[in-house]
Amino acid sequence: MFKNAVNFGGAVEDLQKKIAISNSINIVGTNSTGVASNESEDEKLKAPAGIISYEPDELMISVFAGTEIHEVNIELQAAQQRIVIPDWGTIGGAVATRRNGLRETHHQTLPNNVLRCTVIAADGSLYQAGGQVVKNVSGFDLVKLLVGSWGLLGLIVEVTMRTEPLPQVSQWVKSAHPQAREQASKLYRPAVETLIEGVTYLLLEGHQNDVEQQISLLKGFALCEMPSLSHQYQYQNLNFLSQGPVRSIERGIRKQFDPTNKFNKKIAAQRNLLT
Amino acid sequence: MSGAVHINTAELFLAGQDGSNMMGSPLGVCYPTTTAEVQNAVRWARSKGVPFIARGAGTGLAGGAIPEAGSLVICLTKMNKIRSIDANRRSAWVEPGVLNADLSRQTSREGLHFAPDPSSQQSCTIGGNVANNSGGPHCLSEGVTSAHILSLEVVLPSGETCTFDAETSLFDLRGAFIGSEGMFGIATAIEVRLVQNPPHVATMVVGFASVHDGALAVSAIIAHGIIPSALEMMDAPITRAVEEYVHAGFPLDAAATLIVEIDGLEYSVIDGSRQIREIVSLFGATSFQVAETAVERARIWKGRKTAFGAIARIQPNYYLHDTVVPRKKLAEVLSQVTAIATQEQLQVMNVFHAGDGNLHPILMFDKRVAGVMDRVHRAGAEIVRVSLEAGGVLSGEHGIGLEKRDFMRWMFTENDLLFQQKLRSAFDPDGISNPHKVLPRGSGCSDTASIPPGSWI
Ligand SMILES: Cc1cc2nc3c(=O)[nH]c(=O)nc-3n(C[C@H](O)[C@H](O)[C@H](O)COP(=O)(O)OP(=O)(O)OC[C@H]3O[C@@H](n4cnc5c(N)ncnc54)[C@H](O)[C@@H]3O)c2cc1C
Repeated sequence: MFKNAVNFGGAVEDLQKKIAISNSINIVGTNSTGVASNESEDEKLKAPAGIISYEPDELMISVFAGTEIHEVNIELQAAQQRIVIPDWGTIGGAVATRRNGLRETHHQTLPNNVLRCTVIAADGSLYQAGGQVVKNVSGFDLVKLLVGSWGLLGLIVEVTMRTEPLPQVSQWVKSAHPQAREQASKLYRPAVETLIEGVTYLLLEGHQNDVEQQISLLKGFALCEMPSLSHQYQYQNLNFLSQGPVRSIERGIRKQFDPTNKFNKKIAAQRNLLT
Repeated sequence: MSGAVHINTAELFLAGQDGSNMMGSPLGVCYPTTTAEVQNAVRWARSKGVPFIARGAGTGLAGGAIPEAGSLVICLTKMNKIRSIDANRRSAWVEPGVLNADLSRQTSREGLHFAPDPSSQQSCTIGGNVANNSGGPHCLSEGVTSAHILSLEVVLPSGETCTFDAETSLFDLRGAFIGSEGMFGIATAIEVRLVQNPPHVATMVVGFASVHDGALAVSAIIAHGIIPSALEMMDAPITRAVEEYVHAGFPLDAAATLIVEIDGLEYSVIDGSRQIREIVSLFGATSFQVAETAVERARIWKGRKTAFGAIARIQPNYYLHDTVVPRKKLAEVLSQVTAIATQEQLQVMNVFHAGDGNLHPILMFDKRVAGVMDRVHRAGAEIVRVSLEAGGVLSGEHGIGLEKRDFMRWMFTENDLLFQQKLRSAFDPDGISNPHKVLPRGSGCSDTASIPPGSWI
């Protein structure tokens, strides 16, 4: 009656047909992760690109997953807004790898900011998870499962994300002092607090006077630019191999969603999730 | 098994109910005190081929805790210890039966609290919050329960115990478990994120001459780039009821009242309140008060959160609804809700999380009146319909349970539901953990059916 079923047009239908008949698919974005497979029998498929709708007043944007993030950012900047993902690769790639951008603040993490995903399943059918409102979940939370699923559960074609207003001021500070964390605990909710190779970085955001006042509380910190991130830091969930019952559930999910191991075999094999 | 199973009529009667108007008839109820006892109970149920169901405080409104006939109720209220609080990491490990408000009371000495604050927080459990992914007024800026859970220890339907966190799996099983309404297993320990209490808070109460003006002001505040910590709306009938009940100082001449709270560091609060004041006056605010003291603030929130108590003074029964609509559609959908209630000759009141577009129309009635339940159900279904038509979703925080199960098809395609079922099957292949909830019957999408008597579907 009011189902999510949206007509995404020919590009998505073409992908659905290809997926339905293919045996082995490697989903690619811009391959900024460097995990694209080099198996020659793999069919390389990419989600379509383009912004579908952007409603700054609703703090929400819907894009085809193949859209490059910097293109989205151009739109967002014009409306003085931003999304939590940093500025490279595609939206779909960032969502599928649950890329850990430093922009993630408190609860403003990537999983909490993806409101809806439309996915092509292994049989070529389309399924949707979530909804286009802030409290997006009805039923089981497939969105959480899809964020960080590394393409193992289908090809994400559409993503609706929350946007947020730009803060008045945004300032990074850093310190390599061993007591830096104690210093940081004196602050009220820095937007980001992170330790990278022994250096504590803080991001302070908000009203200019508040940011200045917070900085004045810190001893031994210096102003700095946003730090650059190692590969390992960005893709944290790739560092672990599940065990025991957790492994069984992960395998169960993969088996339910992709019974013939169609999608991203190489990654599934590395994670020991081939069924 | 260790831990007694109780089968006396009074306890079974209580364990058969929750905050909904439904009723189930369980086989027995047990009150485990340790994870091992929960495990024993689940294994026992498995071995007997009996379904089991986790139960917290039983305040759920969608019938999620209504036991299927002949099932074992595993009530977690005796697992109510806060195991540890780590003030440095700003986290705590708690047992599932800890009451929401008790957790924040216990952590207040550290200047910390658990952000999700459902109106039922004095009586609902953290386990129930996790299972229903519960919200509350302050979830506008803080996010709902799923944003505040770091790890979960779970007894799976297989009887095995495991931990879901950010570090032990590729898929976000922690995220997938939250909101699973007891159908993916039983949470036996929960690591919550705690947040710092804000140093500055401004709570404003704003009156409007119409619900329409108030709703437009809500959209305008957010569109202006201000995310208040809470942004609640009450219409005139509920404001009057609450005012008589708790004397919170709400404007009695207003057609709609907004509670707008903004918190954080000093200047953001000063500047934010000033901007909010400007915006609401542009949208025709008829009154504007700012709470000056913590006592005044507490009174306002008490007023907001005891709204349901106030209703009891008007009609003996009420049906509290829960849908979400895009913010820009608030005014439109609210007038549709009024029309639906008028059509069905029911009294309706609205008190809800306006900033999220999360509606909570309350239909009031006396169930002794012949035929009234039919009207209530028809009105409920219509409210769901107009919300979905406006681009919204079925539930903001109460969950699907039994209440909205058969509405799932209004929002999702069969294929969408099939993939939700696939997720359920990966956690519970035999469908023994709280069966027959959430997913509608038929088409291979659900566990095979039976409906508890008195259910509303
Ligand atoms: C007056 C009133 C006001 C309310 N206000 C709000 C509100 O503002 N926001 C809101 O979100 N909700 C609200 N609710 C609904 C309800 O309080 C919440 O859903 C609450 O989180 C349920 O907690 P509970 O302990 O009562 O759970 P129960 O009702 O006992 O159970 C709810 C569901 O959780 C499952 N469950 C319980 N414990 C566990 C566990 N340990 N592991 C796995 N599954 C479990 C049960 O099987 C069931 O499906 C309100 C209810 C009332 C009566």
